[in-house]
Amino acid sequence: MLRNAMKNPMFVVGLIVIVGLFSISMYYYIVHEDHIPKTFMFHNDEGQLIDRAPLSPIQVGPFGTDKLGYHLFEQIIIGAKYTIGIAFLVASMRMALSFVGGVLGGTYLQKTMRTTSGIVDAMQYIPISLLSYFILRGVLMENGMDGTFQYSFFERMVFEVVILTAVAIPTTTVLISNETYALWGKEFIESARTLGGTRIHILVKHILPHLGPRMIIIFLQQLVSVLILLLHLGLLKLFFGGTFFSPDPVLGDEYRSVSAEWSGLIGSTYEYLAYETWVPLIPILSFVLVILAVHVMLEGFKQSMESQSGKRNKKRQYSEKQADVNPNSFYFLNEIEEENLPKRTASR
Amino acid sequence: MQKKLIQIGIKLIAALLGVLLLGAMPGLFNGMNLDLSGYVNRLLNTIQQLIHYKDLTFDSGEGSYQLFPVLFEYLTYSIMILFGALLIAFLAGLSFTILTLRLPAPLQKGIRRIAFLIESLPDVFILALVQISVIWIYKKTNVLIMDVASFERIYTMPILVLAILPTFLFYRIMIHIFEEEFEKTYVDLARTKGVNATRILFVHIFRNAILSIYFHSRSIVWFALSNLFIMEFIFNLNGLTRFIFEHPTPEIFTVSCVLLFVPIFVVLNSFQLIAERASKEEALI
Repeated sequence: MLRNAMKNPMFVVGLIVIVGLFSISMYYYIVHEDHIPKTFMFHNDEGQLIDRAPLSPIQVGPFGTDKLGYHLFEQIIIGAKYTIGIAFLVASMRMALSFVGGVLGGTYLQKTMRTTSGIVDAMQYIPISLLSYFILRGVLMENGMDGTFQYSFFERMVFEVVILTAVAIPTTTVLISNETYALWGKEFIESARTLGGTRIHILVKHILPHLGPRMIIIFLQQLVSVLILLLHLGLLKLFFGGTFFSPDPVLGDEYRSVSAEWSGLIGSTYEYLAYETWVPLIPILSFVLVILAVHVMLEGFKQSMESQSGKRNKKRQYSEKQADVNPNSFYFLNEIEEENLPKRTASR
Repeated sequence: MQKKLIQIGIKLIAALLGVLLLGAMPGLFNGMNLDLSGYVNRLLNTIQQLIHYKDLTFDSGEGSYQLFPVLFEYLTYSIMILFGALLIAFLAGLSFTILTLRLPAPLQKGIRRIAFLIESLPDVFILALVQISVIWIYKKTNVLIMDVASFERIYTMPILVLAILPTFLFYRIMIHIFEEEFEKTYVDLARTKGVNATRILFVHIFRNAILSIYFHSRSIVWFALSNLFIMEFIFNLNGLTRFIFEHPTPEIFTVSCVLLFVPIFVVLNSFQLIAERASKEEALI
């Protein structure tokens, strides 16, 4: 299954982008220990001061600096491992838990699943980012009054991962259980049963292998959904691992991320969009890049699955071509007038 | 029909229950600890307050105001934008689909690639682009396309902006479903009987496709709802989701979620009924 996908160029390109970003980020951590270079003043060739931070990408390559003069490029590199890592972790946990629940539910508890799915449906009427925001707010936001967090960095991180996982569990579980249930209704399962396969045997030998490709597709979709959720939470000033909050009645409240995670970079600088467009736009573009890469992987994977199951269809196309018969090779016994013939319309 | 209505009624109650349970969710956590009794308390409390909904208030600035009927203004605004955008997205997606299916195959492939790329863009990126271009146009021509700082409720731009991504989602799904339908034998039969292509497309294929479109459109509605929230937040629109965000009390969260849920539920279920009528098939879910 995966070996096949590896032959698909789209899948490989997406994979390279994501793995590449992650490895560069890890390399930077190991070799440079996440050092962020700083340029606050900008001098021209004659040594005159002409500008100060935030500096544009033209003045300080390749991505410019933020308002404190820290280079954005290095921040993006440093943040990559957090963003990609979290998304991967949360999506895997969602999948692992929903997979167990979904397969069991689809196999043994389909009736109960159907009645509870009405309640799960309610998830569709509430914006998920709003719900996660309300649950996470109390833990992740620094207390502005005394400037301390109630919990340690590690605790906050675990809590956020748990919540981000939990919010998607009901819908994903119902989805997987429906997929499983649909498989149990297939004809080849019926024949496996008549041949004397036990439930466990059929589950392991027939259901799970058929679920595999669907699981990879759902996993990649979950990856995108986690990334978008992180992006939304970042905009709402909830950054992964916690938000430093310093209220300032004159200059406006300031929010800062604990790590250089991308959503934090966006959330803390989004107000600059109008004046120093690149400061929030560059982390947003990084998100776009990763989400696009996952989508490309997803599309590539689907294609490789189709080409695998499409071998049978090829035969049919061939026979369709054969259907072009020379009209002169036969004649009608009862010749009909030409204009009474039904028109053949080609809409394809 | 009566059986159908009872079914929908049960669904309504189940989903309403779900919204109530979810609405009390933030009460489940006391800091980081699970607090089951706190959750139950909050749930009971909210239900009690929901019954006496007329006494609910919200704080704004110094004072405290009656929640109803002010909340309805926020609700209608959000709902107008949401459904306006979804309607436009549906129609635009449908027309693009029909146009694309009439183009030659190589062109179709190219168009689909572009649509796929746009569909993959996160909503925040699109919103940021809109914001940048509004500022850019204002700087160049002094024309303010969208005033995001005013308190007036603006419609056209938010609806159009919100419609962008759902349009592409509808497009992707419709193209996929329509092509599957084209493969089916009844299309060949209709063709051999001499039914013309437009009629096949609009009467037969559309009728059979609409139920599948309904199933997918539920997730699109949800997606649009999330989009709506982030758009109201970024553009400073005076809508319901922004209201919830600014007045984060448990009862306002639940009341607003319930209010938001009712119209969406009604519209989705009417769509389902119409689709079932049209296709003469019954939806299993």
